[in-house]
Amino acid sequence: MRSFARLGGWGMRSLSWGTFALAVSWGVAGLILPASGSAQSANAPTANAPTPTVNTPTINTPSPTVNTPTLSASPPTQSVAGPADGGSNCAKLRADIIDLDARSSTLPGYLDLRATLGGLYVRLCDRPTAERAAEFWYDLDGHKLGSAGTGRPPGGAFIATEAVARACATAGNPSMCAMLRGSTGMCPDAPDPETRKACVALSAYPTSIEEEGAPPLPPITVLLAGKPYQVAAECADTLANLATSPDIRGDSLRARLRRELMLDQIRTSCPQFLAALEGRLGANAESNPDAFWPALKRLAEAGFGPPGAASAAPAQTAYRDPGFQKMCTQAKANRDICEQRQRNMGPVGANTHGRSGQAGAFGDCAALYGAVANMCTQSEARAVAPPPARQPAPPPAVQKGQPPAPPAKPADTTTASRPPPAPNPGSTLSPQCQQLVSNYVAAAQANDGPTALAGYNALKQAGGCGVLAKVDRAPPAQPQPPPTGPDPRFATRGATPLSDATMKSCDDSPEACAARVRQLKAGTSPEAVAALWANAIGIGLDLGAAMAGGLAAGMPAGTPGYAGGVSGGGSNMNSIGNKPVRSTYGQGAPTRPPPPQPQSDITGTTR
Amino acid sequence: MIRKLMALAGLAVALEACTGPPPPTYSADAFKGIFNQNSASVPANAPAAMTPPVGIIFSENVETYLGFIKTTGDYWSSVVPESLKNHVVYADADPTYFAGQVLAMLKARFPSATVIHDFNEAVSTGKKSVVLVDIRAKAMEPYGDRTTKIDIDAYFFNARMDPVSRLSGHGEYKVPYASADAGVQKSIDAALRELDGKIGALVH
Repeated sequence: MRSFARLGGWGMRSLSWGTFALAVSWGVAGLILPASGSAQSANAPTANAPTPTVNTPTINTPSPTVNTPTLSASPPTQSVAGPADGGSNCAKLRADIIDLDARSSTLPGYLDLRATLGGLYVRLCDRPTAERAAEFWYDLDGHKLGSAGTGRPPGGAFIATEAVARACATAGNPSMCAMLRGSTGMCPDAPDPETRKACVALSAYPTSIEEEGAPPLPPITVLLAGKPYQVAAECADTLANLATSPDIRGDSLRARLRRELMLDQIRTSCPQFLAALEGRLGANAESNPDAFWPALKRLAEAGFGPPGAASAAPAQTAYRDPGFQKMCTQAKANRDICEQRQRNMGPVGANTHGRSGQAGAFGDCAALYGAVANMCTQSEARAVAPPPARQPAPPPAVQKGQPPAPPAKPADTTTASRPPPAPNPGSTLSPQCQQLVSNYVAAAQANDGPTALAGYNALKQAGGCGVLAKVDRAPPAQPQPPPTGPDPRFATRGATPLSDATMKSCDDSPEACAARVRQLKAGTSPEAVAALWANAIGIGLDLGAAMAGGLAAGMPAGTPGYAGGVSGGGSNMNSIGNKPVRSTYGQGAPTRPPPPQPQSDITGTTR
Repeated sequence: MIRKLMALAGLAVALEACTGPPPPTYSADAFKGIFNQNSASVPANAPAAMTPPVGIIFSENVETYLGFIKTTGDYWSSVVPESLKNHVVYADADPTYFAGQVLAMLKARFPSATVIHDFNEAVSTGKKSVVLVDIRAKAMEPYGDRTTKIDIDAYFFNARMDPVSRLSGHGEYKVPYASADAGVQKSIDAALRELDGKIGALVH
C-alpha cells in the first residue's frame, strides 16, 4: 500500500471508490450518479485538493456510494461519506468486485471492465495495510511524539516511520522529506500550508506501477450456460483481450502464435473453464481452432450467456433499467471529461508524462469510464438487436488416437477453473522466452517484416521455447489463390482522378461542397452578370481613355528643325487648328534662322 | 493596347461560348469499364428497393464530362487574360456544382450513401446497394443549336449487385444571345428535379 496512502488526488477517490461503486451495479450508479441531478456537476471528475491519509485512505470526494448493489430502477442513494479505513476500503473493494462479478458478469463488455478494475485494484491495493510499518508523529527536531493514529499532538510536524524519521531528522523541512518518502499521513491535518500544498503536488497519484506484492484478485464468477465458474483474473483478462480483438482466423504464423499463447494462458489459469467452453462450443481449441476461437470470441462478447434468445436477457434487463441508462450517460460524460483533462495536463516534473501523476489519474479515469461506456454500448446493442443465430461449430477435426474434448463438468464454485496445484512446467514460458515471443508477435502484428524475421530467428535460436515448433512450418511455395475469384461482372476499373477530386471531395466534405455550390450559384446570379458587364464596360472605357491619352502622350514634344510640327509618322493636327505662328522666334524656337516662308506662289504674292 | 483589344475580342468570344476544344464523345453504355453488361438492357423506370449502406459510383462518362470542362476551362484561361475572364460562365460550368447537387439529392434519399470507386469496393466495404450515376451533356453551340442539354441517369443495383432499374432526368436551356452563361446549372437543376421525382416514386 505504498501508493495507497499517497493517493491524494481526485483520481483515486472518485476513480477507484467511485468507479467501484458504479461497477457494483448500475443501480449503484451513485458513484457516478449523484442522488440529485444538481449534484451531477459536483461528481464530475476534478483535480481537487486531496485529503489523503496514511493508513486510512479517504473516500470523501465525491461521496462514495456504499449502498447495497441492486438492479432496481430506483435512483441510487448516497449513504456514507467521509473517511473510511484504508484496509477496509480495499477489503470492501474486493467484496464488491466479487458481488459485481456475480451480478454483472453476464453483461456484454463486462470482462473488459473487470480487467480494468482489476488492474486498478492491483495498483492501488497492492499490499495489505497490515504490512506497513508503524508510523508516528514527530516534531521538527525529530522527536517521536506518539502514534500516528492518535491525531496530531502539540508540536507535531510530520508523520513517518522510524526509519524515515531518522533519514529526515536532519532535513531542512522534515515533513517534506518524509512526504517525499511516502509518508503522507499528515496530509489530513497538515501542519503548515507548504505541506498541505505538497500533499497535492507530490502525493497526488502514484507515479510508478509496481504490482509486486499485490494480493491475488478474487476469481471472477462467470455464468456459462447458467452454471457458475470461478475464473482466475488472468484467464478473464485473456478472454477480455480476445473479446476486444479482431478474430483470430486463418493459418498465418501470427494467428497461430496468438492462438497458441492464448490457449497456453487459458489452459494454465482456467483449465476446467476451458473444458467447459469446448463442450459448450462443440469445438476443441487445439484441433479445431478456426471454429473454436471465433465462437469463443462471440461468446465472450455476449457475456457467456445461455444459447439462443435467452442470451440477450441480461442485457435487456439492464437496458430497460432507467438507472442503468442514466449511469451509462454519466459514464460517457465522465470518460470524455477525463480524456479532456488528461490532454490538458502538462508534464509536471520528470515522472509525469501524461501517464502518471495527476494526468495518469485522469488517464485511468478515462479508461475506467470508457470500459463502463463500452459495456453500456455493447449491452444496448445486444438488447435491441435480434439474437444472433447460433452457428453450429463444425465438428472438431479429431485426429486418430486423440481423445475428444471432454464434456463440460458441473462447476464447483470453490475450485473450478483454478490453476492446478502442480502446473505443467511445459505449459509456461520462461521470462526470456516470453520476451522473445512477445517481441516476435509484436513485430508480426505491426507488419514489420524485418523485425518479425529477426524475432523469428531469435526465437528459433532459443530452441523455439516450446511454442515455435507448434506453429512453425515452411512457407508456402507460392501464394494460395483466393478460394473464390472476383465477380466476373465487375470490371477492373482504372483510375478516375477527376471524379476522385470532384466527387469524392464533395462526399468527404459535404458542408464545404454545399458552400461551394452556393458560391457557384451566386456566380451566375444577375448581380454577377451585371458585375461582368460592368467590368467589361469599365475596361472598354479605360481602353478608350488610354487610347486618347496614349495618342496624345505618344506624340513627341518636338523635333529639331520643326516648331510645333510633327516628325515622322502621325497626323498633322495643325490642319484642324489655328494656323501656327510662323516666322517668329518665340519660346522654344530653334536656334537657327527661321525657315523660308513656303507660301504658295499660286497667288503671286510671293516675294 | 493591342493586347487589350485582343482580350476584349476574346471576352466577346468567351461570352458567346465559342468554339474551343471539341466536344467529348460519350459512351452509349453507362456501364463501360465498370460493369460487364450493357446498360441498355436495364429496365427503365422499374421499381427498386435499396438496402443501406448504399454506394455511389460515377460512370466513365462523368469522368469524360469532367475532363471536357477542365480542358475547356484551361483553354480559355490560356487565351483570355484573367482581367477579362468570364467568371460567370466559369461558375456556371464548374463541375463542383454537378457533384454537390447530385450527392445532395442522393444523400437526401439515401443517408448512408457514400462515393465508391467500383463494384469491387462496394463488395469489400459491405455495400448492400449501389447507385451508378451517368451523365451526357451537350454544350450550346453559338452558331448552331444554342441549347445546353444535360441527361443524368441513375442505375440502381440491388444487394446481389444486379441492375434493377434505370431512372433518367433531362434538363435543357436555350441560351439567348448576349447571355453571360451557358445555362449549365439550369440544365443540371432541371435534370435532377426530374430524376429526384422518379426516385421518390419508384425507389424505396
